[in-house]
Amino acid sequence: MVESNNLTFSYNTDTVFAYPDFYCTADRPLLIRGRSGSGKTTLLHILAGILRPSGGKVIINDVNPAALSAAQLDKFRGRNIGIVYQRAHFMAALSVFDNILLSQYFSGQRPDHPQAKRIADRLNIGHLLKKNPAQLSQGEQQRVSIARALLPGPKLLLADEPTSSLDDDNCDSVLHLLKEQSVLSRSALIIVTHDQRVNQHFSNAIRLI
Amino acid sequence: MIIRIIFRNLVYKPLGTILSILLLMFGVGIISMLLVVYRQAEDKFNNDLKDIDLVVGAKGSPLQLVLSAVYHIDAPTGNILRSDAEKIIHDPLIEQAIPLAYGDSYKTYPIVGTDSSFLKMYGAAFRQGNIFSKTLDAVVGSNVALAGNLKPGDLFLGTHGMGARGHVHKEFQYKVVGILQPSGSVLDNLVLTNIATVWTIHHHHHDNDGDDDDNTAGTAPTPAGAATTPPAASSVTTKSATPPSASITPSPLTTSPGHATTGPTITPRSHAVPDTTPTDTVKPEDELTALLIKFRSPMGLMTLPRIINETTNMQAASPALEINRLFDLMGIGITTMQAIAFAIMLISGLSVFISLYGRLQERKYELALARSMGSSRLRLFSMVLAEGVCLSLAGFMAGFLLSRLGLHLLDSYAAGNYHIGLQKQGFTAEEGWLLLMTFGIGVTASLIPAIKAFRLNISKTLAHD
Repeated sequence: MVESNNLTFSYNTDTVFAYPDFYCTADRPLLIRGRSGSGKTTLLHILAGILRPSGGKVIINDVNPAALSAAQLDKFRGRNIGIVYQRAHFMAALSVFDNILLSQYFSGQRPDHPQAKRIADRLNIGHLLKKNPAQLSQGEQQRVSIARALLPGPKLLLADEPTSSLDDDNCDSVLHLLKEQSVLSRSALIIVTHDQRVNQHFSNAIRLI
Repeated sequence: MIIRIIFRNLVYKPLGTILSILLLMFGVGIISMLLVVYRQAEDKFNNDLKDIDLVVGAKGSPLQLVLSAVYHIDAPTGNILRSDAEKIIHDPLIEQAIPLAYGDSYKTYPIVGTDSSFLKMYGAAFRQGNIFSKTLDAVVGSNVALAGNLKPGDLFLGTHGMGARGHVHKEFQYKVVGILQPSGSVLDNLVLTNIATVWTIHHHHHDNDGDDDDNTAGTAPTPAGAATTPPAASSVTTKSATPPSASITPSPLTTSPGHATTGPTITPRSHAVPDTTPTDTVKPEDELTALLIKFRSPMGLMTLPRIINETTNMQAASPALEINRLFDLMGIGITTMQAIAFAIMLISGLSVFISLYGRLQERKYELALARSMGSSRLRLFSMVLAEGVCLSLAGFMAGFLLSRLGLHLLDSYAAGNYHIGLQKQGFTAEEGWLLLMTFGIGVTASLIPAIKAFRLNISKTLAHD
């Protein structure tokens, strides 16, 4: 479970973001909405432990990531947080399967090949594992990045604009997938987006202004 | 996994990788080849030097004298009178003086008239047969035996001079009596006979000397007696005024068309061992090509060369000195080539840098992704560094193989043309340094890209897609 408390972040004195408090569990995914420039991505990076907040705190599974050292934070992020980006990015030189395994490798776990295959099958990309990421369609790439984010068994799954470049059908199926998979993996899910189509899928939502 | 990531990244954009490896390969290959060739040449030259402190021969270029008399890879400077040689070899500072007389060659391998002490000096071991005991007996070195497919008992003809197409002395057949073990010394490429043989062949009309026991002194009389007097006068006169490059050829010897080198002559045994032959029986035409001298003490080297050079019409040359001079000269060429090779290596370092740096721009997002998946800064740093190091090591391996291939080719070429064999060479200490240097280049070239990867701002990189 994830909760925030008086969270603020400032890049400089002019741009200060103050975030409303929120709360999220595996059963209750959270939607964070806001137009561009409202600090969505910044918030996502704070949640991911990529940025440290200027004030307030986030607690993820009883841990305050901001209190960790840089090396501990890297490790914490690798083990506990999976991120799905707006546009899927991969190591172009590696195969789809290796790209999925990377998340475990970089988080310091032993790559678990059977588990990676299981997750890939769950996401319907089991037949694409030998391909090069660039050969896949956007929807397929999105699913590969979800598989990659889920493989280390994260406590928190973050999705940054996962639907903005998809059509309505794909938008629905990706949201469905994210919710379903996070439940299966028992991860808390937070989606950050400006996409209006997502609203109807979530009861737990906050809006950034 | 890390190996796969590095390897995949290296082969993903192969052009930059190949360029870097090729450049390194040529740099390393050239340097390593130079090192090995230079080292082997030096070793070989020093090895062949053995116990030769001084070479005495006809006036001319000292280097030529050394190259001809010690290494047998140049034409002799001319001949010296045996009587002149006799005068100096009794000096108490001299421990041993080995006489050499040149005249013919066999399939471009020189035929050298000498005595058993020459074989002893190089520690010759016989594979078959024995040492020469009679005139026209020949002991052949291993390479010569191979080239001529010779076995003991075989007969062969000598060609006058060193060229491949000189006049062939058809009327005299050498008889193989011994074949030497390969020794890696000059012996491998020589045909050895007694000095009387050289003398006999170049005095066509006589072949009457019986045998000539080579080990002992006192054999001189026979050939000396056989040496007829007629050519004597001319020989003497030509000799003293010999210009360095001119060959001294007493009249009987001028018969051959192919003696661009020298027309060596007869030489009865002349030796440091007290000669029973009274000097007055020495015929003026008895000539040697050179004496290889070993001193009892270094004092000899201080005094004798000056005496010989100033008071006789012979010259004395120190092989060690001349060879040092030669290597100094060669050194200039080698230094130049090494400079070029190092420049190539520097460029290859630059190429490693450029290809890593260029790839880094494309891979910024990948690296940020790796960080977001839990990779530490240090890990990314070492990953980029490892790529550069792998590149440079691959280049080194390729260069090492190239150098060994080059040596192999050079060996086949040099063995055929100069009778200089290059040994198969493993990994040398100098190449260890070269490896270290290549490693250093790899590290240096990838350091900046690696630091950039270390400092990467992941939040910014991920947000600015």
